[in-house]
Amino acid sequence: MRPRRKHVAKRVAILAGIVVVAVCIALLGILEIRDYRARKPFITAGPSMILGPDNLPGPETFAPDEAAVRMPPITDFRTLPSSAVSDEVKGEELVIGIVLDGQVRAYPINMMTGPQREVFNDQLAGHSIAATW
Amino acid sequence: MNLVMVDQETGSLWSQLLGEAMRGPLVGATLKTIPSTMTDWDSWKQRYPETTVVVMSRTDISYTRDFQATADNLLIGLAEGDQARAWPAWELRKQPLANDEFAGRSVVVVYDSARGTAVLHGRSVDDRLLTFDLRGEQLVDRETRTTWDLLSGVALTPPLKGKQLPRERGIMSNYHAWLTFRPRSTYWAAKENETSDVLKDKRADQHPMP
Repeated sequence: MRPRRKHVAKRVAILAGIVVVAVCIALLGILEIRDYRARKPFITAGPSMILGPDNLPGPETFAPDEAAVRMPPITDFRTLPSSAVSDEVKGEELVIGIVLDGQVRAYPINMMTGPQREVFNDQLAGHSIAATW
Repeated sequence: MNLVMVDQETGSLWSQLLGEAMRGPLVGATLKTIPSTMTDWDSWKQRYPETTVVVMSRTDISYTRDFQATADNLLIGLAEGDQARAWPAWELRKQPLANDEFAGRSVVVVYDSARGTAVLHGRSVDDRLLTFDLRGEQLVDRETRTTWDLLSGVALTPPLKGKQLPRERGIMSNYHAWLTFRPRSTYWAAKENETSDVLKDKRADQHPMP
C-alpha cells in the first residue's frame, strides 16, 4: 500500500507543478499585453513633431492632440489561408473582413490596436488597401 | 478621439474616419472606402472558407464576441457627402435589425452581438424594395420569402437565389468620433425608427476611450 500511495502522491505533485507552470505562462502573457497598454508610448504633439513643415494648409480645427513616435509603415506581414490557422486567431476573436474582386481577407482587430500598429498597408486583388481600426 | 494617419510620401495627415487628407500637400484628397464586415473569426471563415487572414502578434485581447455584446460606444455609420446616419449598438441591441432609409437609399442594418457581427446592406434588388426579418442567423425578405446570407448578402433560396444585395460602405465607429467628424449625422433609434434625441444622454456622460 505504502509504495502505491507514494506513487500517486508523486503523480499529483507533478501534475500540480505543470498546472502552476501553465498558469504562470498564461499570467505572463496577460501581463505582457497589460504592460504594452500601460506604457502608452504617446508624446504630446508639437506643431511640427510629425508634420514636417509648420505651415501646413488645412482646416484649422483638425489638429492631432497626441502623436505617436513615428514608426515605419507596416507593409510586410504574414497572411495565412484559413485552413492553416490554428491558435493564431481564435474563433471568438473579432475580425474586419473584406471581399474584393473575389478575394477574401480578414484582419484580426486584436492585432491592429496600439500606436505601433493601427494601419496595415496591404495589397489584395491588385488593390492597395489601408486596413485600420 | 480618432486616429490620424500620415503617409510616408508627402507627410499629409489623414482622418481615419473620413478617409480624407486634412492637412499637408494632399489636403482634400479622399480615399475610397471598401465595404467591410465586422464579425468573429468563426463566422467569417465558415462563410468564406477561401479567406486569408493577416497574422501578427496580438497587441490586445479584448476584441472578442464579448466585447461586441457589451460595447456601449460603438455604432455603424454610413455617409454620403456631408450627410450621415448612424445605427448605434446600444439601440440595435434592443432591436437587432433595422430596415431604414438614408440619403435616398434603402438599407438593412443587422447587429448580432452574440456572434459579434455588424452588417449593413442595401435592400433594393432589381428596382424591387425588400423588407427584411431575421430568421436564426439569416435574413428573410417579406416580399418574396427569399432567404439571404447575413454576412455576404447573397440570396440562398428561390425566387431570388444568387442575387446579391448592394454592398454599402458602412463603417464601425466610436460614437465620440462620429459626433465630431459627422456633426450633421442623424441617429436611428429602436422602435420609433426615426431620428431621436437618443444621444442626448450619451453626450452628457463621458465614456473613456477604448
